[in-house]
Amino acid sequence: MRPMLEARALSKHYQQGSIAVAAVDSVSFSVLPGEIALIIGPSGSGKSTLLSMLGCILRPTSGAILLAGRDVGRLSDRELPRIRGRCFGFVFQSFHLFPFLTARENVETALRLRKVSARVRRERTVDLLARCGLEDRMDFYPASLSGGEKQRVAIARALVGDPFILLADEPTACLDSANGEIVFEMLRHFAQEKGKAVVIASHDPKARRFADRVYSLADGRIEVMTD
Amino acid sequence: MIWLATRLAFHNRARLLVTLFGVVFSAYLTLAETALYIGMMENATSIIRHSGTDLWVASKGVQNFDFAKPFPDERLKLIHGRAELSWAKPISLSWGFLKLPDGAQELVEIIGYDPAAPVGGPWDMASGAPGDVGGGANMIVDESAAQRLGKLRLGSLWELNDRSIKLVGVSRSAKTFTTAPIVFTSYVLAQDMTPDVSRQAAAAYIAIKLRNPADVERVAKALRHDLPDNEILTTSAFVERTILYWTVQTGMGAAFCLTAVLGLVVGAGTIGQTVFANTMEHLGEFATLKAMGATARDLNTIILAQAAIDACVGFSIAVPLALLSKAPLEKTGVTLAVDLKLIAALFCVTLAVALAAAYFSIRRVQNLDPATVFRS
Ligand SMILES: Nc1ncnc2c1ncn2[C@@H]1O[C@H](COP(=O)(O)OP(=O)(O)O)[C@@H](O)[C@H]1O
Ligand SMILES: [Mg+2]
Repeated sequence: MRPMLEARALSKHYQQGSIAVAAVDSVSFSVLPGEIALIIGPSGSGKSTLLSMLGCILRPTSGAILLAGRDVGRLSDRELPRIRGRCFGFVFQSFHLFPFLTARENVETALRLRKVSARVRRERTVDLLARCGLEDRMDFYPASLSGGEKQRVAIARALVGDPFILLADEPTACLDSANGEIVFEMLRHFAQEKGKAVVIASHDPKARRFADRVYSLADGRIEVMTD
Repeated sequence: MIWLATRLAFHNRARLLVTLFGVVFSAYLTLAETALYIGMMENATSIIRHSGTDLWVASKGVQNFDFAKPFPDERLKLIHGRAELSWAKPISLSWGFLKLPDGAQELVEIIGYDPAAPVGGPWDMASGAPGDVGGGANMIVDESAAQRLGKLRLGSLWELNDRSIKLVGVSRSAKTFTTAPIVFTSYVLAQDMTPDVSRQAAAAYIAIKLRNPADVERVAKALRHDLPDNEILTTSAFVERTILYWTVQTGMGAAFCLTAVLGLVVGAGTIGQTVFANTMEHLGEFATLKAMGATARDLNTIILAQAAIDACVGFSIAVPLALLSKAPLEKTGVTLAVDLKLIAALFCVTLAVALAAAYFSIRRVQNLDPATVFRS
């Protein structure tokens, strides 16, 4: 099977004063449809940098990213947002929900960006939030949701547009272990049920149970641990 | 995305209120200043514009309607024979004192015209008719003068330049730039009352109506030849010259313009600052939107729509305030010329200025690195 997302010799260098730091150093990586790839590594090892390059948010210094076999490095700055909106869903450690919108509106925003009609927007949002166990939290603002609830709203927002790939950066770092378990369970469900690719960066030991392949990242260099 | 802008703008109610306060204040200032200026210019030119004439004979170097320099009205004879003229009538303009019931004296502008062909007389009557000033010591006073002169009762007797004079009519909307009340009398009476009796009869202007208004430039040229000591102006040129005088010579235009522009600047500053504060406060959300695939156009729309919301809400509160303050302000003698055209024009200007004020926010968000969403 062809990888959904693939990185070839991907590097990102930052100039810190007079020295160049390789946040990500010649990383090769791939994830298949229906699969969860886990990237573990200590803080500062380059996980977030790698994920933002994989998600077409950050341009690599060198190397290539192939999205369903297509090199995205050639895309212009104007095309990239569209690719991100259509192909990727993002989940972040600190949720990044819109504080001025209710849970339902937060999720709907992802569909509004894709100019989905109001009726379809509403149907899909309500349906997905209900499946995330949030039917009685839909009209709550993020400030009055618990951490676990916030992350479930964030996951619903990432999934509602039906992306091919979901990128999650330390999605359970701010959650207790029970809520962390629920989040991983949701991500696995999404990968298996819908045949989507999921990439999780995490140092949560629980994550390994849910992963199909595990990469370890240290000082920007990657190593395959299980295949 | 306008929806998102609305939610963002209304999220911080306190900030919105403070912003609206500033915008309402500045929009009101701009609107009122502009309307006052237009009102003054309308008053300064009202008699010229409502005379129904094509050409004006004035003394050389005339600057505006109110500051007329009289010339002998015998010059009328020099042009009487001309076939192109439908009629030519003298108008006099002088200043006098009207004695009030309490004994006080009020300075008034006396306009004398021919009651038989009321050119230069009142054009809109609350009571009486323009022709009523004929046949004796009669006058028509504008209703706007009631504030200064007291009750204007038809048939009441007054004293103008120490002569008894009867009020035979009340006109509407005849005002001057100086805000001195206008008193219309017959040309003959006005001559009679001119303090300097030794002078020969003096007209301030000769108003001319042409048989064919299309001839105006050609006739003006011929009249300049006939009356070398006078200035011949078309009605529109006279209006322009009067407006130019009050606007430029007196520095009034600059003063009004400065205040109106300051109003716009304050409004733009308020909106720009609020939108920028909102943007800085929600940079994380903008980065998230960028990561989620929002295009530059989506983001610009969110920012510009916020500025537009502030401008629209602020402006739509300022307009009724301006309309409400019209009556009390006009009691003081000034005219607030607010009409739909002015409101529409100033709305466009306010909106444009507000959108321009969002420039820095747009720049900030355009340069925002969406990768910041991955930093906790
Ligand atoms: N924008 C940046 N400028 C300079 N250095 C950066 C930047 N982003 C990340 N880094 C550096 O790259 C390294 C990897 O960071 P990051 O990808 O955030 O690691 P992790 O997510 O695994 O904690 C760190 O040393 C960090 O300081
Ligand atoms: Mg990180």
